[in-house]
Amino acid sequence: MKIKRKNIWITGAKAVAGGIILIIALFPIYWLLLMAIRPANQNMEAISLIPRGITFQYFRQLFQDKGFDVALKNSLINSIVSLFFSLVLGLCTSYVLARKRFDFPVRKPMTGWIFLIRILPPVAFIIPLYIIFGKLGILETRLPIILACILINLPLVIWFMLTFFKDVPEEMEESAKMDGASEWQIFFKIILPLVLPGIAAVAMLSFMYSWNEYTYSIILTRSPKNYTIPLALAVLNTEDNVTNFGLVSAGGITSFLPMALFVLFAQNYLISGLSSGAVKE
Amino acid sequence: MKKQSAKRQGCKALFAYEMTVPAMAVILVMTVYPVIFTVLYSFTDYNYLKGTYSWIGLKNYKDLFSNAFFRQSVWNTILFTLIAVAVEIVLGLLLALYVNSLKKGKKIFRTLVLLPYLLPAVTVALIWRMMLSPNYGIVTHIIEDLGIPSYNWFYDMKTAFGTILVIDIWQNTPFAFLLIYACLQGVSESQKEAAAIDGAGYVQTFRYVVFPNISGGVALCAMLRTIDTFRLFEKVNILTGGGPAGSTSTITQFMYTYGIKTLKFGFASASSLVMTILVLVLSAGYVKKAISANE
Repeated sequence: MKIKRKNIWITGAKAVAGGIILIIALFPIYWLLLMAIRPANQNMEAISLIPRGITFQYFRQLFQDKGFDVALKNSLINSIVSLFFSLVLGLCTSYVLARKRFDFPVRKPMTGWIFLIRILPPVAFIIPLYIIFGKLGILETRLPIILACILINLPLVIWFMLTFFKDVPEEMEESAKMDGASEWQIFFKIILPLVLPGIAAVAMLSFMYSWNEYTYSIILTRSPKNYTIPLALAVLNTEDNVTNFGLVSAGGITSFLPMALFVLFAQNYLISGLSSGAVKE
Repeated sequence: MKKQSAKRQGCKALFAYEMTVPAMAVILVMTVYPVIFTVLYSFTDYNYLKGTYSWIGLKNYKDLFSNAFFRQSVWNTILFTLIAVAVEIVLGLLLALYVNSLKKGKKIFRTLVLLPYLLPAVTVALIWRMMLSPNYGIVTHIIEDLGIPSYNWFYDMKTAFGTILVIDIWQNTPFAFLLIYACLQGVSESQKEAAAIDGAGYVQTFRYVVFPNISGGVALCAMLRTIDTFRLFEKVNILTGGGPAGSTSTITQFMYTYGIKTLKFGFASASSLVMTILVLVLSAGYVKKAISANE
């Protein structure tokens, strides 16, 4: 009897704790959504947790007058193009680095350097990059951000996939070779399909990093026509400094859309990608 | 026979090069070259606008360390990182233990708690700026209802730093939680049960069975958070720009304001190098271990 009562207390305390945790974690996001869809006057009035009426005027304004149509396009292009190149270059390199039979002189220093790139801060690279991009005359294009995202994600893909490739037993490759398969065939037809879950996880992670990227973008972008979503948001913040919460919130919600889709439809890959640091390294 | 195997060997080498050369080229141009030139520029008075530079030895470094704003930025960055990482690890650990103890709904809870981490840092900064706005922010509403006058959290030297700290912790604790939670899944149930049979209480089980199993993961998580927090820039840049009076400036923000916006690239290079060296010193043990594990 006594034990039972104690259990009820514990269950109750746990439920309360869970509620508090969820409110802390989610209320700000819920509030953002609310401010984005609530009709204008209600953002200024007394607090209400449930919207009375819904409006899409802020989203319309954002995409029609505030350049979010261009920013969304830029963000999508930058993230997808940089993801494509990071994956293609990264998977090939990672596979070779994971296999001892492909020994070549710079293998060790290269592996070490790739790891270091992920630790060094962006500012370690950015000034010479700015100067090169300036000399090449591409600071007025979207190329610098794409290249910066490749710089962030290529080492990530290589390092992340190393363990996945190492987990594939090398005997499989040897027996395929006995059957006359070339190295290319082995890589594309046998190995890549086996590491697909890893690829999905790292792809999502890379997409997130490119999509959220701000430090390189703000330094390497000159004209508004190349603004990405985070930059457009930052500009919105300075323009409508004081009170246009609806507009800024609609921008915030827009910035979260791709990640929300990942959470809804591919959560397992996303989470295994994010938590890989703990188990895999 | 010998010829054929030599040919095979050649094919293999060719394949290895074809696979790695494009990525190596990118890495050389985008990282090796920049690091070398950052070092070189840091000894010059390179100004991007003028486009000319001359060797000035250690002058940039002398200027940096005699600059009160820079010293404050370094101190802010270190202090911010120490507090943020410590709090994130403790909260993340508690949260992980909590979620792990749930009987139902672990998965959905984990996902919901993770959401703040997935937002762009810029968006997080804006959410909190609006919630804390002294005009119409909800937090202001609430504290006014409690009879406390409205307050500008970001313009007061006493609170700006702490406010950004809290916001950063709000966003990044979920990451610590997720990593530690993943580690907890590796702790064997039978060990815990054995401890329980031996009469160990919850705290003892945690101390002697659970924690030794996850301590490596916790240390790694602290390292990853340290590296990431040290770069802190977005939130500061959006919320305060480093002010008031430099009280929230980080090294990256300092470099952005005094080196990059002013196009004094020699000076900026010196400050970026100081930051790079600090990061390397902080993570030396981790780097060594990770690299040797993969050779």
